[in-house]
Amino acid sequence: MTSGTIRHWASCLWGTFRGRPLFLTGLIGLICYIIIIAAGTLFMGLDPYRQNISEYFVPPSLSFSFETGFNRFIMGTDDLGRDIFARVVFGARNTLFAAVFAAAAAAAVGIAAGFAAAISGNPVLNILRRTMLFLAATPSVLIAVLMTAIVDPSLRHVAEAVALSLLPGFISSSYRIAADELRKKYVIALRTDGAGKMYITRIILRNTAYLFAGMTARAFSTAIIDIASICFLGLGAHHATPELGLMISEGMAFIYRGNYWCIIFPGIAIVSAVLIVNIVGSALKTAIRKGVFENASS
Amino acid sequence: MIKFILNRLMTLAGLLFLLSVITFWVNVRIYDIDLHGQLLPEYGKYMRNLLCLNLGTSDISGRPVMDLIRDTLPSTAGLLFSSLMISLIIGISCGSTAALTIDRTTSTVLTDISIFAASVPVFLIAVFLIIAVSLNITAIPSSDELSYFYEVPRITAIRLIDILLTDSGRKSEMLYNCLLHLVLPAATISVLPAAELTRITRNSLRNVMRQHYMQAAMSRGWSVFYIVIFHGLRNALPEIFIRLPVLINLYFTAVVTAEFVFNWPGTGNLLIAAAQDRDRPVIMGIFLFTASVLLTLNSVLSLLARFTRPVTAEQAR
Repeated sequence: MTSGTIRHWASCLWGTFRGRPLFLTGLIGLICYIIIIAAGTLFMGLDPYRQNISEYFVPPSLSFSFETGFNRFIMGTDDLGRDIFARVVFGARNTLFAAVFAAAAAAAVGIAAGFAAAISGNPVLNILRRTMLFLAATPSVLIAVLMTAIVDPSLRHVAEAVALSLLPGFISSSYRIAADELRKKYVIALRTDGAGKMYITRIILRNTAYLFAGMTARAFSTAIIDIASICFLGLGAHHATPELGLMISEGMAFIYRGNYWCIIFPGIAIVSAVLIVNIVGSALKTAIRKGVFENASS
Repeated sequence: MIKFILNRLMTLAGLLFLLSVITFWVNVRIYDIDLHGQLLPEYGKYMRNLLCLNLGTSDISGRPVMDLIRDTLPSTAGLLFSSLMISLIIGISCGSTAALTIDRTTSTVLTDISIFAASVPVFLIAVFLIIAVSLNITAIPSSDELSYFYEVPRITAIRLIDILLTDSGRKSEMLYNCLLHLVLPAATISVLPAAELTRITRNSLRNVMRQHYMQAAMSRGWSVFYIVIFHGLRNALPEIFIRLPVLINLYFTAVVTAEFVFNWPGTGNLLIAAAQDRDRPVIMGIFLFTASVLLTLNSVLSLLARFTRPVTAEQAR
C-alpha cells in the first residue's frame, strides 16, 4: 500500500464524517466506548466479582466528601455489593466480543459460500443456497434453546448459535449480490478478455465491499441484541459472569424495591452499543463506496 | 403456477426431512443411542413416533409433551393474535403516513422513531414498560393471564373467548381483568414488529406512489385515502410479503421474551422453563413443533408473495 492510497482512504473517511453531526456523534461514541472498556478492563483494577456485603444497594452518585473522597461506586452496587460499573464494563466487553465473533464468523463463511455458489455455478452449492433461503428466518433463540439440550450453556455456545442464525442471511444475500454483479457489462467484458474466476471474484468483491460492510455492521448489532436476549432468558452465560443481558435479568428482581440502577446502566450500555454500531456501520458503508468508486474514476 | 406450488411443496418436504434428521442426530447424541449398523431401523422408529405425534414425556412433570403443548398453545395464540393486530394496524398506518408525507417532518420523525426502536432489545422494552406503567398504574398487572380470583371453565382454551362464552354474573369484570392482563405483554410484542412494518410499508409504498398509474389516479381527483387503501397498499403488498420472514423472527423472539418476563402461561414460557431445567424431551418436542410451523409459514409467505404479484415471482423463480 503506497502513501497515495492511504491518503486517498483517509480523505474518503474524513469526507464522510465531516459535516455530518450524526456520523460524528457515532464516531465519538465509538471512541469513548472503546476507551472506557479498554481502561476499565486493563488499567483501572476493577473486579466485577468482588462482593462488599456491607455495602449492598449503594445508589449511584458522583458525590465527593473530604472524609471519604470520591464515591467508590459511580453506578452503585447490586444486592451482593458488587460494583455495577465494573460489571457493566466487563459485561460490555464479554457481550461485544461474543457479538464480534458471531458476526465475523457468519460474514466470512456466508460471503465465501454465497460467492462460491454464484461464481462456480456448482449445483450442490446452489441447492445449499436454496435451502438457506428458507432458513433465513430461523430465530437465534430457537437455535440457542436447541443447543442447551446438547451442551452446557455458556457464552461461547450462545455466540455459535447466533452465528448459525446469521449465516443463512449472509449466504443468500451474498449470492444475490454476486449474481446481480455477474450479469453486469463490465464482468462480461472481463470474461471476454479471458479473465480467470479468481480475478473476477476479486474485482466483484472490491466493487461490492461497501454492501458487505453494511451487512456485517447490521449483523453485528443484531448479534449484540440476540446475545443479550439469550443471556437474559438464562440460556447463556453462567450466573456469576458479568454479561449485560444477564445483569438486567438479575436486576429485574429489585425494580419493585425501586433500585433501578441495577438495570438502567446495563440497558444504556446495550442500546448505545447497538446505536453506535448502526451509525458507524452506515458511515463506513458510505466511506468505502466513496473510496472504491472515486479511486476508480480518477 | 402448479409447477411453482409443487416446487415450494417439494422444498418444504425436503426441509422437514432435514429437520427430522437434525433432531434425530441430536437425540442420538443426547441419549447415546448405539447406531451400530442399524441407522435406518433406528431412524424409522424415531419417525414412526413423530408421525404418531408421540414426542415423549417430560423428565420433570412426567406428562406427555404433546399434552403440554396443547395446554399452553392457546394462550400463546391469543397473545400473538392480539399483538399481531396491534402491530399491523400501527405499522401499516404509520408506514403509509410516512410514505405520503415524504420529505416532511412527519416522515422524518416516524422513520427516526422506527430506526431507534429497532435497536432496542425486546426485554428492555418489557422491563421499561413494567417500570413506567405497571409500577405507576397499579390496575395494570405485570404477571400471568388472569387474576386468581376468577374461575373460568375451559371450553376453547383461549381465555378471552372462554370468558365470553361463560354465563357467570361477573362476566364484564372478568373480561376487563383479562384485557388489563393483556395490555403489557401485547404492547411489548408489538413494538418491534410495528417499527419494522413501518419501515417496510414506507419503502414499498413510496416506490408505488412514484408509479405513473398512481399519478393518473391522483389526477382523477379521487381521495388520497381511497387511492392509498385500494391501489397503493394493494400494489405494495408483494414487497411487504417478501420481507415478512424477518418479522416472523422478530415475533418469535418477542413472544418468548414477553411470556418469560410477564409469566404468561404459554408455550414460549414452557420452552424457556424446559431449557433452564434441561428437560430434554420438552425442548426437543417444542423445537420440532416450532421449527416445522416456522418452515411452513415461510413457504406459505413465499406462495402469497407469488400470488399477489405473478410477474416478478416468475422471474425470481
